[in-house]
Amino acid sequence: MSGKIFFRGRDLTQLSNQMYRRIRGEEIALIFQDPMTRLNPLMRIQDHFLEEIHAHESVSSTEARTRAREALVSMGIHETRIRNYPHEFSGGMRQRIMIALALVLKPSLLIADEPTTSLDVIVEAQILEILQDLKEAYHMSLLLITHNLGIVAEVCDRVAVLYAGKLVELGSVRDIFHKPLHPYTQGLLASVIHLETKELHSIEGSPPDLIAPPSGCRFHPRCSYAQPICTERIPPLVEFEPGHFAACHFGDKFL
Amino acid sequence: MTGPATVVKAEPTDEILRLDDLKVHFPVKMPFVQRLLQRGETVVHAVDGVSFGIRPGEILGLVGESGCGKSTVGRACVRLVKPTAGRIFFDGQDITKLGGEKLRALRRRIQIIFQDPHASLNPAMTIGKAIGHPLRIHSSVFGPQKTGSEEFGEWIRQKVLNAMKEVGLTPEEQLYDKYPGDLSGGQKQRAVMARALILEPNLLVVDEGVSMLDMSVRAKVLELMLDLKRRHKLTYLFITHDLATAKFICDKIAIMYLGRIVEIGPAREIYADPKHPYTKALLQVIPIPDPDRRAKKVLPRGEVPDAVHPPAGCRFHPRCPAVLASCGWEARDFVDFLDEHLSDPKRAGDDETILGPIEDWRAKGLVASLETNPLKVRKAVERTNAVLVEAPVAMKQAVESVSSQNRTVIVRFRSHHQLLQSNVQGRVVECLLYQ
Amino acid sequence: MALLRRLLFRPFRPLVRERRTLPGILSWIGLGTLISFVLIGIFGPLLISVDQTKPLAYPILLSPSLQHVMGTDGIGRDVFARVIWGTRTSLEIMAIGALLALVVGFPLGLLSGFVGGKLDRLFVLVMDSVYAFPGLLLAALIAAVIGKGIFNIGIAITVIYIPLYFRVTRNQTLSTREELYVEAARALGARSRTIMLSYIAYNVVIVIPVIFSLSAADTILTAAGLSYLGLGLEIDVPGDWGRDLSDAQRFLGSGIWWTSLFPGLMIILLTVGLSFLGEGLNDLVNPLLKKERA
Repeated sequence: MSGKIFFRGRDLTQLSNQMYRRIRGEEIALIFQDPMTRLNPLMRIQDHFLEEIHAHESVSSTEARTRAREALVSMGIHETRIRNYPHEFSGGMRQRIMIALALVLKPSLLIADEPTTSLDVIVEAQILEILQDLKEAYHMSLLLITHNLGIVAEVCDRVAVLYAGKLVELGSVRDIFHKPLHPYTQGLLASVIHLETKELHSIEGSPPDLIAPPSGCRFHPRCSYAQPICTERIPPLVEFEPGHFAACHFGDKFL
Repeated sequence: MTGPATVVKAEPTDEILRLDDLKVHFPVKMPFVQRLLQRGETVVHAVDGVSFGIRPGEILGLVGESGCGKSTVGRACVRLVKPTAGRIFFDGQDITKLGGEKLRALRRRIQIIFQDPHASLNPAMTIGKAIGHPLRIHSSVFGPQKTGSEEFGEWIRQKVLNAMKEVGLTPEEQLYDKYPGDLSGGQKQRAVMARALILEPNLLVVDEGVSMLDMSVRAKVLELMLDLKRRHKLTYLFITHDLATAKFICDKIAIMYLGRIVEIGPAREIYADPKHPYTKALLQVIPIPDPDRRAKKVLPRGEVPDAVHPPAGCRFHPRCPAVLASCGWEARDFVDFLDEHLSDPKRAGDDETILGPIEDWRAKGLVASLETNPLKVRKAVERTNAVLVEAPVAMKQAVESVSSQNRTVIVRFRSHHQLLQSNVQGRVVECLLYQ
Repeated sequence: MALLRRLLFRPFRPLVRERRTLPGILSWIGLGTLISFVLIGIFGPLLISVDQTKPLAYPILLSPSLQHVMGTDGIGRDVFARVIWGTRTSLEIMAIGALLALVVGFPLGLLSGFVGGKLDRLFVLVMDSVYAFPGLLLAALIAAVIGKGIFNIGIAITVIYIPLYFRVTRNQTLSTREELYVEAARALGARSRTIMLSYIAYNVVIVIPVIFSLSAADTILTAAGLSYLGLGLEIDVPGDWGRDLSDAQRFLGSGIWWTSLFPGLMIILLTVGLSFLGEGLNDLVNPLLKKERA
């Protein structure tokens, strides 16, 4: 592992484990695709909250319990259910509990890794709505990791597109959806099947083997615009227009 | 409990597959002691009265959320689950109770493809062998001369290689001896399709066949399905939760909710102008990949309820944004509402002391009751009325009376209208709004 | 026949594929040990005359020397010759015991798990009652009834291990039966027999070498135990580690170590080797099962 991760100007990779644990939870919270993998099936919901609160703050148990109850109620779950076990909730409720748990310490950054992928479409829309409301209410930043471009278009302000472990494009949500510069982003957008899809598109080939990634631009074997230079030189991330970066030798062609 | 009656009768047609009021109920697994204590059988109403037909060459999309019973319908069509009631016709023949060799013969003509291509392939069988296996399973139809001969193996091999080429599983010679673990997800799904097609079936049930594939691969597999349909005059029952994919591929759409079809008709009409509130909700939540077209959505409340005790009347009524007073309101809807009310400290005030705890409420059919202290009864009735003021209008209207009897508060609901299917602009809808 | 061949080779695929991992190395060590013992068991007796294993062939209690690398025992038999001949005896018992148990337990487990219902309940009941009985005691009882001899001891031991094969096979069958590819096979129109053999047996057979190795190790110990108790083989068997160990026990106090060390060492080496193989395979097979399912 190399590189740096800056959070509020501090490099997280340089922090001690103890400091890192403090930041995680208090400042940065995480939610995952499958809430059941994070909720301990043998622990009541209440105990999950208490553990989380006590690990980071020295507050009385009564205070912690009140806060746990508030967090749960704010997600639309009855406070009497705080004594239930995770398996007694539906999928959507579990994901709401996970969000409540992540937010009980009022973090400033929430990282949501495919938070709705395992849920049904209507519940997915409900959860996304909750996340958006929370973002406004708590003034919180959200890092949403997803493969679903439709969700990106609905929720996000800025978008980073990754391909084979590399950042290929970064820009505002409008830039990415209206003027994609990287051929991979273009292919990805074209392959989304939505209600107005008239014709199916797909990206040729399959994602590369990361043990031996392709030389130069990692996308070149699947790219219809590839030139000899693409196999030789790794394209740098260039700012083609204010706030809109892309890692493509021919990004200016698509401006 | 009786399901809503079916008024739209099946007319004899050239349909290749016809389901007539199909019901599939599964017993609920319960601990021994509980089974002893509970009288009567508890069942999951996975499919509860589904009727539709598919014409040859048609693609019918069966769409719904998880747990709505769409996969069970698919499995019942290929007779992997036993129908509890109702009938299934294939090519004019009643296959509901088919067994033994006749069922085996039928399986040459109806094939199913499952969501998970990896799990559908035997990890210990090479791709070539897996694709050719159906031919060996049904080798008796090719006659003893052929099966016994030396060339039978070579004949199968050639057929397999052709099938692999046709579904785009190339280079076929190399992939023939590979194991499923060596293939990518898209390749595995192609192998599964080749295996299903090698017997040249008439009907293909595709149960979420592309949901697990990456976006870019998904498009190709869908194209392949359309291509195969044209070339082999295939008929598809395409089961999916994704209305966008269904729109692209299907001629007809059936929307399922909790074991019932709520709307069925030509895809074009349903997408252009959905009638059932549930269809509307499903269409509305499909994200549009355009940041300039973000819109506030009117979402149904809550989640799909448990299919062991489906709601009375229209099963969607507790979540429906367009619900009427006559849609099937019943006691437990009131208790659920009260629960929600009491859980919000801002709204509840001291209601909890008078109307709580929620566990003390009994809900039976149309009557909800709370046994309380004789001194509190009058107050409780007052409070119940006050709480009802905040309830959804339709629920409020459905309440017949709030009364007291000795020490018991009683909330009584009116009985609901019978839900019928009605023809609305070329499709069949099961909703009181159109009755 | 092709089916049988594939069934036989299927379990060893992971051994080749993952030979560089720790469990792989462990299994190869175990397999090496087993093969060496098999070679000793086959060729040793061809090279060493059976006369050397007979009483009064030599002076008694000679300590190890060039003529007698492991010395001689209390009745003048060459310990080395006894140990070599004993290898053959042990392997014979092991082969009879473990193979018979496999031949009976595997199909019964497969059938019971696949068919289910009343048949399954009956089989499980019978097998569990056998399993609940202390192994050595049961074997001793059977040996006492049917008499001594290599084959009879093999049979006595078989009875202990049938439930083990049965159980493991049945459990594996039960979980394999629920796999989607089994349902897919049914939808293709496959008959139950085809499903059981081509789809389930294939994926269940992976676990067999694991139980085979572990139970074979146990077999050696049980056989030795029976001989030790005097319930094992006839007295004129040219090599019997368990009995030799039992005979040697009374000399231990007087500083005569070679008569007990070498048979004991053989028992330990073979059982440890087999356990290595079993444990190694277990580690190889189980993650593989998970990976294949994931």
